[in-house]
Amino acid sequence: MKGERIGWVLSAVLHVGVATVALVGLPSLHHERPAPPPPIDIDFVKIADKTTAAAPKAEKQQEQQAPQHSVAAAEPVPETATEAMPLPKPAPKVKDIPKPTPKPKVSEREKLRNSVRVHAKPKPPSRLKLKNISSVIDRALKEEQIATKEGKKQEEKQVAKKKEEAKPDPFAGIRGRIAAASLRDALSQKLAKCWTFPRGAKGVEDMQVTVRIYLRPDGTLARIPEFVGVGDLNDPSRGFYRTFAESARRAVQLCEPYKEAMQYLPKGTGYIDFNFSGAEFAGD
Amino acid sequence: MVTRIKHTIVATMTALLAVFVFASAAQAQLKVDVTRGTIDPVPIAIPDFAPVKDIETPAGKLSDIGASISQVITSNLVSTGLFRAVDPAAFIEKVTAAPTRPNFAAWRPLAAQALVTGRLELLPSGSLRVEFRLWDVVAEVQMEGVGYTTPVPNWRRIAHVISDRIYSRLTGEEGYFDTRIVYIAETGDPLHRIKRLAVMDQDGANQQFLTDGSYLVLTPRFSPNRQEITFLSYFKNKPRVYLFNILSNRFEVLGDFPNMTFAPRFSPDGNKVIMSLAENGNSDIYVMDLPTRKVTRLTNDPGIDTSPSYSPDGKHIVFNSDRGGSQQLYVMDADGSNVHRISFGRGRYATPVWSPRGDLIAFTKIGERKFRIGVMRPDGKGERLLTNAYQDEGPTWSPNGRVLMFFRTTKYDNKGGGGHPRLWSVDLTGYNERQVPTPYDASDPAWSPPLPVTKK
Repeated sequence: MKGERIGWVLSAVLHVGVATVALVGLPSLHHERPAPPPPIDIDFVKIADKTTAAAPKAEKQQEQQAPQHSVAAAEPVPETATEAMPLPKPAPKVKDIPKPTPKPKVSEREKLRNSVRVHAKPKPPSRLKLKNISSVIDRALKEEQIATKEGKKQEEKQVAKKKEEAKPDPFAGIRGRIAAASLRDALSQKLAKCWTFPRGAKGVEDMQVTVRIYLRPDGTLARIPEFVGVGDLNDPSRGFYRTFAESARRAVQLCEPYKEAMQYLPKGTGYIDFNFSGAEFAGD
Repeated sequence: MVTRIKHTIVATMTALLAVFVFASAAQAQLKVDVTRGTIDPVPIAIPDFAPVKDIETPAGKLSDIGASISQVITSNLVSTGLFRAVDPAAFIEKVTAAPTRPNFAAWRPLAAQALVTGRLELLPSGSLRVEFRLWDVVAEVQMEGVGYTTPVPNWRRIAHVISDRIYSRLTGEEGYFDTRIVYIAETGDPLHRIKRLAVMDQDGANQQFLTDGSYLVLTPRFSPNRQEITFLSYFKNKPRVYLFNILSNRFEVLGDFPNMTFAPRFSPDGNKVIMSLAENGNSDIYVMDLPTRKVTRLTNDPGIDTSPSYSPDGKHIVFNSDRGGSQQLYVMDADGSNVHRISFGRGRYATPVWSPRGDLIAFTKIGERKFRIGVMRPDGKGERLLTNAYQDEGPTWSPNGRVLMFFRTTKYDNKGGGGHPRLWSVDLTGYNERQVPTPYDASDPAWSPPLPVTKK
């Protein structure tokens, strides 16, 4: 019985351990490479709303929709864009500011008068007559009641709006998928500008390689890009494939940073797999 | 008890499943397909090779030789159209002979993706030692590092060998710079043309004449694995097929053929020569076994069969024939069986040559009042024309199957000019057309296999 209990405890501890590793991620155990040299200037790619970003019409549409946004500002997903916006800078601290003296207590009636001053139209004091004071106060009270009612209405509206916002958006999934697809297209186009390989090499049309990258929060590479499932690249008989794979890795490094992807990979926990295909480099 | 064990197993499995699902969800990932790229030349920086000690040698000062080596390498790589040399005036770091890693931060702003550094020294034996390193500027790693020792006057060849190593490492294909071209050098007026057999490095350097022009020479072809040439010459008006060894400068008559002989060409193993022989106005394909000199007839058709070329595995032969009414390309097995036509386009097809890679056949296409160089797959599909000048003909493949060399004859003009053949090269994709420098008019080129390099 005691042995069983120990077994359960051990099992639980191990499970927690595995879950922790899954959460934190094994990659985080690797050492980050030293900061890279100054990045090379790279043309940013505009991110379209549609996945067929290569078509010139689509680019025009995008320009019409958001002509005032630069690429850096027009990050693809509006929902998460607000999260990525920089926070306002804190105001500079001012030393030795005298503490404000406590205001003298104001009676309810005076408060009322103050509110009247705010809402009522100013009139020349010479025209104010004592006999009309009571009527002025009555009017002020009425206005106060109206203002309170309007405030309540506004509050109710805001609550209703919040409730509406709290409801699950039936199109959120579709929007997310479109945003991800658009980001994939943008990254694909971006990499196409960085990837160079000789045309017409024998068998290049059948070659594929996957390069995996992990990113820092600023979009720069957190470590040297990895090849996924390529086998032994030092095999002398695979010299051509090695060159192909290295050209893909070089492209990924040249295209750094990947700021646009950070909205999709929050907190730098995920990775991007770039699947390079050589079909385009066939000589035909 | 058994039930409890079952429960435990089920609980464990469920927990493990949950962990795996959780793990995959925890690592957000994005998959991006990259199916396009650029074919812009790769920027490469090649500073002058630095001498360990700048001393005078029979071939000049070591610093001058170092500069010349880097120039030859640059010229070789740029001539492929796959590389662009970074302007040396923009270099920030001065490369010295000290064996240190380069400062990559000084090369990245120049957009150089690759960097070649080298050093050279004169050994006590009087030999020249040249060392080079190829660096990946982006990944900041050394990709290649090799040293060569050679007699000092041989520095140019070292430059070609280094070019081959760099090309091979950066493209994955074998290089073709340490090779030679044999061709027909033509001088004199059109009616009294003197044709001499000539040989040169692939970049046009080291020109040599192998014959003096006393006899007409035609169709020189390199052995695919030896520094040996076969060619046709008319000796006392009789066609003879010769063998010539470049290294030993030795001629050998392969045979006297009483009738017209055309286009002798080696088999891939270098042990046979295939050619066409004409008899009674009909030309057919024959093969000669070199060790035994036994001749075997491969085709027997009333049409004119000529210009045979072996596939690199030696199993098939492509040739052109007019047996179907017009000059077209045919492929047959090496024993002459299974003949089938592969070209069906408009116009006529001539001088087919099978690529050393085996995936393409180059040819001369005649039509629309032009001679143009084209390629197609061995099954006849994927035909592409690579050139579009007035008269391009006689293609020959580089040993890696990447580049074609041919000769281009200029059009005659009203003033009696034109009609001059020159050597040109083009990439198999149709890009990067370049003239190969020759001192005289030149025709009928043939590319050698890579020259032998002795390893320690």
